[in-house]
Amino acid sequence: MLPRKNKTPLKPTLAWILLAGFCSTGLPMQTLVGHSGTAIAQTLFQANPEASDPENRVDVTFITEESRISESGETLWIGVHMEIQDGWHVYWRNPGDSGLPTRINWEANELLDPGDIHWPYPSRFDEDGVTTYGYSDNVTLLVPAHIRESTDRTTAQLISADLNWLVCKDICLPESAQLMLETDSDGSLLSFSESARGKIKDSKSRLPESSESWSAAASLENGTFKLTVISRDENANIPDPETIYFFPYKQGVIEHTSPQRTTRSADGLEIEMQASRYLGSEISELQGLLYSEDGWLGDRMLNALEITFPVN
Amino acid sequence: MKTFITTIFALALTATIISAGNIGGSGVEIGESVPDFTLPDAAGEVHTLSEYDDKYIVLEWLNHDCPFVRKHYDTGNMQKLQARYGEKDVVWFTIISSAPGKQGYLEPDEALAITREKEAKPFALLLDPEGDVGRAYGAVVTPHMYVIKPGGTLAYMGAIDDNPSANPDDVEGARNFVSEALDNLLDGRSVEVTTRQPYGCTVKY
Repeated sequence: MLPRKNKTPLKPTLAWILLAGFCSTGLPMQTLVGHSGTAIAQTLFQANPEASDPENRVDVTFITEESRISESGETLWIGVHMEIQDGWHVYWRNPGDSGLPTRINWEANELLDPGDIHWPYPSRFDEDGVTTYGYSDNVTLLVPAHIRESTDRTTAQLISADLNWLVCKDICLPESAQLMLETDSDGSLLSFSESARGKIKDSKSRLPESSESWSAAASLENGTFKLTVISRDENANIPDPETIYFFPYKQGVIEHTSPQRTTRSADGLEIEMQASRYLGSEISELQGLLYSEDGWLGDRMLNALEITFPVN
Repeated sequence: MKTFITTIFALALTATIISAGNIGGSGVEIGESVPDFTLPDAAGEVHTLSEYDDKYIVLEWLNHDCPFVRKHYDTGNMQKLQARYGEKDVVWFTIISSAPGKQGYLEPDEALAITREKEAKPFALLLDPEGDVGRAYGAVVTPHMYVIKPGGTLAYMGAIDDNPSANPDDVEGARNFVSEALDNLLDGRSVEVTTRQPYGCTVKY
């Protein structure tokens, strides 16, 4: 038996996710909010479909972990910090059965070359027979920006972006904002603070990572995927099966609402789940993250293991 | 305390699986017979699906307050499709499965008024406030689209097009799977794309 880290007595992971889903979007919430909440939100939306910032349910800011732009060739991590009103949620890269992922359109820029969004692992929301993946309360999406060779790094407004996201409770609203990464006159980033540094560090720890310590395979038979993960070395920590949930990177691959059954094998785990009704005829691989509260490695905490399962 | 918390988790888990079974476990399959149903339209006339057995049929799930639906109505895209295929004798049923008090629910007179206002051209706007028909078809989002062949077999289900967004600018240039399936069928060919993961707001059962 390999060592297990952070073993908690309540085995809370999946249950927490489920409970979080219920509190945020689930049936009890709808019963409590019911009619009036819906009516108010709808009225606002109809009165002003392109809500201005103060009316947004999500407050978005750029944050950085460094106070200054470092050398050319390095990477500046830009955090897109979203503070989300109680009961509402925004979506992960795969939103699940409904919803939309947050999108960022960067203005072309001479100094910074932003890459794709790096998404911390999401929560799962179950509501009315629909399962979605996203974030409630707050989240910091991460964008690595390559620092280019540039003569001008004294400009006060470094880079701007248009952000669009869908925020949902019992109803959904599209919201947007235009954000700017700015410096003061001596070149310090206004987006930096100690708390910003903490948020980015925390978000980085939630990013999925692949690991040499694990290998993977999958089969698809009679509409059921069987995923197998096998530990390859001593550093692999085999988590408690009850703490595991597979978040697929793409829609239309698995039936998001279907229960996932995880069992322990001699040197790893087997996870069964229903294939999506919308799965096309051929699929060669299944990519996503395997979440476990217990963590997947012996030498450090890694909750979200990024895995590509070749499908036989 | 521990027992109490464990019980709550167990309840949450049970409720989740049951509610998942309501929709995720049911639904229809390509090439299979679709469930028959009888629903009143907004004008009070009652329609039974099997009465249109000799025609191509489209089912469109609707919630006018959903941004994804507005994308297709504010641009006139949905109305255009309804009119174009109505002329070709396709029976286009728009269905509202929102429960009373939930977003998108409309009383019959409100449903008639908004259909006129939007200049929508469905064959009929059907009211399914109990959600039975929506659940039987596994309708998860608005807009969720189905194309049925004469004889009642399912030819297409899923998204209206290949651009999952709420932005009206994205209608143009998108590949519309409903018109493509209907064109395939009306030309006597088989449907190239039979399923696509639907996108939109959840149906407010």
